[in-house]
Amino acid sequence: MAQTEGPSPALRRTGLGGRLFDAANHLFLILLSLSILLPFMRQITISISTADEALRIGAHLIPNFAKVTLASYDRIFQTDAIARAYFWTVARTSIGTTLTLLVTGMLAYPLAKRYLPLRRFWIAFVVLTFFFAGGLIPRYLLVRSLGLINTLGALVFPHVVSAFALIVMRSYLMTLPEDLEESARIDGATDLRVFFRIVMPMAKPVFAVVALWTMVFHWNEWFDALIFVTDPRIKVVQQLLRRVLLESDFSYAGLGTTETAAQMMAQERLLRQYTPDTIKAAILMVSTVPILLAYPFMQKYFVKGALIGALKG
Amino acid sequence: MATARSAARFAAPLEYRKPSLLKALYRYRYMLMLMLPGIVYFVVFHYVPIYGAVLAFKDYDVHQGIMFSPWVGLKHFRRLFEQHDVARVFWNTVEISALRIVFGFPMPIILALLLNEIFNARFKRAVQTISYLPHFLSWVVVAGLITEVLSPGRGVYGYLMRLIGAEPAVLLTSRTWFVPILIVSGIWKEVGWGTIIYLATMSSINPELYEAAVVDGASRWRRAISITLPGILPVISILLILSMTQILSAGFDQIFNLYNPLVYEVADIIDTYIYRIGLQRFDYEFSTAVALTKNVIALVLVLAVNGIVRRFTSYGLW
Repeated sequence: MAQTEGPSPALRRTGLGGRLFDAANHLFLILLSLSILLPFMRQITISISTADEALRIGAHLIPNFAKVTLASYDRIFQTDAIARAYFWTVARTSIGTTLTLLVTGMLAYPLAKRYLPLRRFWIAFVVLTFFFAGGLIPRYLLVRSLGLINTLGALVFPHVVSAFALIVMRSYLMTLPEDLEESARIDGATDLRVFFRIVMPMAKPVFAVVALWTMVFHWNEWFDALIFVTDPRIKVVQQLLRRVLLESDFSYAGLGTTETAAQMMAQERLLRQYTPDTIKAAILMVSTVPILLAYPFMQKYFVKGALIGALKG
Repeated sequence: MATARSAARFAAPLEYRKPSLLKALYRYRYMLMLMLPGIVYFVVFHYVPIYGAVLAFKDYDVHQGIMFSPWVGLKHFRRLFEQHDVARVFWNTVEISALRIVFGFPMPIILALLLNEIFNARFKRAVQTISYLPHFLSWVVVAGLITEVLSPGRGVYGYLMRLIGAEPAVLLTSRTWFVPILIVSGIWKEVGWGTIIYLATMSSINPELYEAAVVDGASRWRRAISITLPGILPVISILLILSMTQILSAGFDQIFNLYNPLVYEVADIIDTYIYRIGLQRFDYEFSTAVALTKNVIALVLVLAVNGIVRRFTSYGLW
């Protein structure tokens, strides 16, 4: 991309003021980056610190290697709560993403065709829902009356088609050359066959972009799990994380500790291995690591999606 | 009109005749089949809840469902004016949104201008990559980080306060500090991501403009102000206008994960109120009435904004 290449040397020439600005600018951008990186470094460090090390007041940016322990990770994996939460998150992410790609693609393709009968009606039919919604309670009562409470369906079906995915897919499909499709039709292929055999393979890049967005959405979504799932066995990762945050001492009122945290403290005094803080840090890490690891490699797809979505939206 | 058209047809017998709608529908039946799952989705998960908003005009009866529950007219809307917390919640929402626009909206523009002055491509890319990162974290995670950083006992904030000899307060339960925390953490999470569109627009500015400016002796500051900024101005104005449509959604995810009863007075927004009234107090009808009021105002805002955009530019929002 042109934006990452520097301007020509003539444009770089700069006086003393310019050099001072450059220094200040670099410093500011470094500080901004540190404001993002340091909280994570601190969480990683705390999550692998022993109890007394974690209780020590300090920055905790680099682990004290004499006092490193995996006790917190041990502790959180002693129950299968995390594994189970992971299972439901992975399940909703994979099923949800597959459904979104299929249904959105199948809807976007006809809407990308000028000759689609009643095209303006269909577009209005879809676009109206971007700007008007029924509200929380009608949505909740609908999911309940469909019998989806405490099922994966409640986490997947309400989010099948998003405005973003539909706009991005449609605008991409509109740019595809039509000659391949036409020659297939002349050979007698139906529109169904044309879509699945010719259009979908050609549209792989946009499917990849939408897939990544949908995966991140499902990974991070917590509210539907909060309202549609009451069965503690079907909690997703974000929900578990919320519960841990809520049960820790500063969660709601910020005053005093809750019973669970107090119990944990008592245990910790015996073992001297973990504290509510190290546990919390470990769970935070465990729930964020997939995104932290995957994100740098997928960044360009996200940027691409953001640009198409912003320009067409 | 009809005679004119038939005359035209008579004059040009080879003119393309529009096939009847039924024929067209039949001809493209497979296209319609492809659309079917998507259309069903929109009917069930969007239009049924839109219909369900009539609950605001009814008294909900569990056994009869929304459709057969008795109508009660504007009973629940009257409560909008009787219940004193409704006005407060609407005011909080508008206030937080306005603060976000005043302080948050310019930030990605400033950051993009600063990044644009970085000539070392690798450094620039590193800063971009890092600054995009928080956008991909849920507010659950970010709220966890914020409470950790701001903890008076163990957090960086408490540490720094004690370093300068001050007594750290509990900021997240402070009515003075809660809203500034919302604004700042909102900026922190989204500022990097917000630069993408500006940087892309900047890269499409004609480089000859800059070269000509250098020949004319324009300083870097001058070039940033007189070339780069005007170059992204159309995008800035469109995004600013678009942000007006969001004024009644002040960031549910963020507030819901950070707030607590001690700061309801300043932090309770329409969406959090709808949630608590509806799913904690089970006052379905009133919650729906509040939501419907919000959604209708939001729709009017979108239509107004679209009208403005259409008037001043060649294209509308859709």
